[in-house]
Amino acid sequence: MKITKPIVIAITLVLTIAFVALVYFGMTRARGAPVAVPPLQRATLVSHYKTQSLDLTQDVALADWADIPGTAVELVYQAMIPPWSKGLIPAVTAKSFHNDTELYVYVTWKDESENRALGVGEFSDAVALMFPLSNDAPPSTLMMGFMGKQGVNVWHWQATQDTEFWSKKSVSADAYSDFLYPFEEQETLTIAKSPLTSAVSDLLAVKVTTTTAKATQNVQGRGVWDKGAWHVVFKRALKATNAKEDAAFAHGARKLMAFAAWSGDKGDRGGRKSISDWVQLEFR
Amino acid sequence: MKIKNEPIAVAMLILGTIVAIIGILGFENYRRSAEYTAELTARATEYGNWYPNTITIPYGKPAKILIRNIDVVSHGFALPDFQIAVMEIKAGESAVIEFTPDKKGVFPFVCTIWCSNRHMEMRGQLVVE
Amino acid sequence: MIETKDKLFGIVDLNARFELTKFKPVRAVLKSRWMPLLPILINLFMFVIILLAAFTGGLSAGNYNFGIMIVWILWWVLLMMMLVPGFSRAWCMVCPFPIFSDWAQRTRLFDVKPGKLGGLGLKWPKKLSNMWVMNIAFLVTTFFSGFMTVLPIATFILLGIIIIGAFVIGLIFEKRTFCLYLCPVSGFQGLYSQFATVEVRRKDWEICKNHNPKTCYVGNEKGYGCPWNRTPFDFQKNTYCGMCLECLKTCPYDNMAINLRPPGVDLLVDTKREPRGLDEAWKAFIMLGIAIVFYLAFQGPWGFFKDMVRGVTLPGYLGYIAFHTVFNLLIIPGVFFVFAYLSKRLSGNTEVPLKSVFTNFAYTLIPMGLGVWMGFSVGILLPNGSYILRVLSDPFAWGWNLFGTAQIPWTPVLTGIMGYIQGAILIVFFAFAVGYGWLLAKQIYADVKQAKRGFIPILTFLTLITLVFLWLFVG
Repeated sequence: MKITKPIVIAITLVLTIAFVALVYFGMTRARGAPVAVPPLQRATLVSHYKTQSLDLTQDVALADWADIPGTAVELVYQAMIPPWSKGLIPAVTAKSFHNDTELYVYVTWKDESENRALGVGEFSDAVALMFPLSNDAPPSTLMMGFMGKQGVNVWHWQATQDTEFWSKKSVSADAYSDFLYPFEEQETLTIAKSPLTSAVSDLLAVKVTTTTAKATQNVQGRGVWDKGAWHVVFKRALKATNAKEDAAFAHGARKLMAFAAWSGDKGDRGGRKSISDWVQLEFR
Repeated sequence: MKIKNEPIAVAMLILGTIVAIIGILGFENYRRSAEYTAELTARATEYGNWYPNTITIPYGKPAKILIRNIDVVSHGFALPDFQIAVMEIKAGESAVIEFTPDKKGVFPFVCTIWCSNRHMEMRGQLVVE
Repeated sequence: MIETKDKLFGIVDLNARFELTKFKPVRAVLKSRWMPLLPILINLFMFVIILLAAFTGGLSAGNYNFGIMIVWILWWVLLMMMLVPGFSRAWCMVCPFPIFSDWAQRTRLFDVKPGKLGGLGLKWPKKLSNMWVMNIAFLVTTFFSGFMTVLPIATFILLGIIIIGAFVIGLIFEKRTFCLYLCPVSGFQGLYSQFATVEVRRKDWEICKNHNPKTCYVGNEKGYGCPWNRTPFDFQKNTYCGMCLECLKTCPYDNMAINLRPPGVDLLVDTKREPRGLDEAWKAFIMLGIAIVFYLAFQGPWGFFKDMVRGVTLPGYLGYIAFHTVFNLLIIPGVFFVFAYLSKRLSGNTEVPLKSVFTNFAYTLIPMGLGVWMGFSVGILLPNGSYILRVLSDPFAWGWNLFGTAQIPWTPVLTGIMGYIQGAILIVFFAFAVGYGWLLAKQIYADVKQAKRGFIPILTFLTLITLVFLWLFVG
């Protein structure tokens, strides 16, 4: 076969088209099988303005929360930093409102057993809220403030602490076995503890393993276990006492927050917990 | 008899190009279906997440799952309900997990490394039936 | 062979040759039509694997990709450290890319079909029968270096363009026009092969003189006339000899030889048929400039520059392209021009044109650039060489383990003394550059006195370049 001009043109065209098609096909599969990636959608928890305020010294006022719409927040295993969680609390439902001076957050989740006491192999149920201190914190701050320059403010409610604080009952038979032991400086005897000022620990962290109790404890909270579910209410002043340590809130503002929940029954404690992605908290 | 070299050369050329490509792709296809119960591709959420997002394996039979990280960052694999994990699969590497599922149901698996801003969404489901 | 009385460093006889083809088995192998066809076919298979890996690798991590690792670590390093300085254009001998157009032109893969070659057979324009197109092609290719060394699919696209380009050009133009004047990697191989320690040359002129027709040029039943359009019976420079071995087959008198020789002999060749030219000078500038830019981008300390080269932002990337182009095409030649001007002034010679001072001395940058590139290659090989063992066992990152080396972790080798190895190589090649620079000075200027004075600025330039790179390598 003699190669003529039309043949060369035809070959060139065919090869070019085939190559471009191949590259196009390759580019569409350059990161494996193509799938549609849904845009990031954060769950939103709306904190409506109300003139009401709640007195936690009596109870958690469940009836007052009934009419407020809730936001379901999905939780996943904490499987980034060992030890990883062994049991999963699949979701919590959160509600919130605020008045002129205070913020209230209500969290409920299903838990078949109420774990309010500590012992060998016995751990507390708990829930925590986390707020980045910086308003432009990167999403990786979710790892207890990892990469966030100012870190995170954590409100950690524990069923055992709730019992100790509100019921004035001792929760530990022989030993206190939580990972958190923030009172070292004040310690004179090996198992001395400061008097509790709240059922909620008001904490600071800049990355994993840096969780530290703040000098001033500004968060109140109370929980009740009823018919296989926990109901926990957090309460704090809207304004930050110390802008470097306390998450700041204001009417009309937006703030990222995250949830973590522990099931003592399943052996959760410390990093063994179920965690959420960031949730948008909106003050309206 | 004089050996005819021309057809040998042409045969070698075809063998080294078209046959090689078809052979390699065909062999790999066969190898994967024969060797593994399921195959999983790890990519950050932005680039497609775990693929496929749901994998199904039979109950009670030994499972062998190939996990390929085709991304440019590290990922990890954790299947907490079966206490199975690969702490880190570096970019471009692959890992194989083997276990025998002893319960039926839908179980989540997650990435274990902060791989991107949407790391928390990097999860999938293992169905045992 | 150019007979020269000059000795390199005053001791090395530049006329010394050792004929490798005087050994009968060597000549027999080289005269077989399986040579170089068999290595080409094996190489073709290798590139099929490379292309497949680069294609399936998509945008995944380049350091575990067979395509990226073999092309940019193994092949590039082999080329710069062994093939070109040692064996001239030995790569071109085994390069698989032109096999399809050769086949189309000849209609035979193995056999020799006498008569006119197929294809349109157009002649490449005379004006472009030099290195300029390749200069631009290579420079443009390096615009994308930040992607090609990282993204497998980018390597696939580059290789695809070269393969299709080689084929189509082979259909349109005669013989190996693509290899001669278009292939992006042909230019520097041609340029640096002038330094190579191996050459293909005619042995005895008397035999060729009386041999008609010259079968090495027109071909016969044993082989094709020089596909690279050389005249094997009298060419004197490696630059455009693709070492395809056809002339060894077509010469009925076994008058073609492959010789070992002192490195760099071609630098002194300046004949009417193979003159020194601005195209080759610019090739030398571009190669030196690219080495500097690459060093700063890939082995240097500046993250911002690396981000520019990798195209993190479009303005940054365009900035890199602009800087890269101006630096290579204007600044380096400009600086060299100043030194060439000083050379002429200092020599006191008013007759020799400045252009020829500039062009001729530019050839000192061939050993200089080669040394810089070898040093750069050491800087690629030692830290990244261990990846090659991995990708050989698992070429497609599919979890294979062909040779049991798939799990070898990234292991940098000798990086503690790497800078000194690079420095030592550089100094050796600096010596060659100075040695040949002096011989060139004597060619350029009328007498030794002028040559001595005229050489001082060039020596200064070479020393400065060496010091800059010593500083970069050894820190």
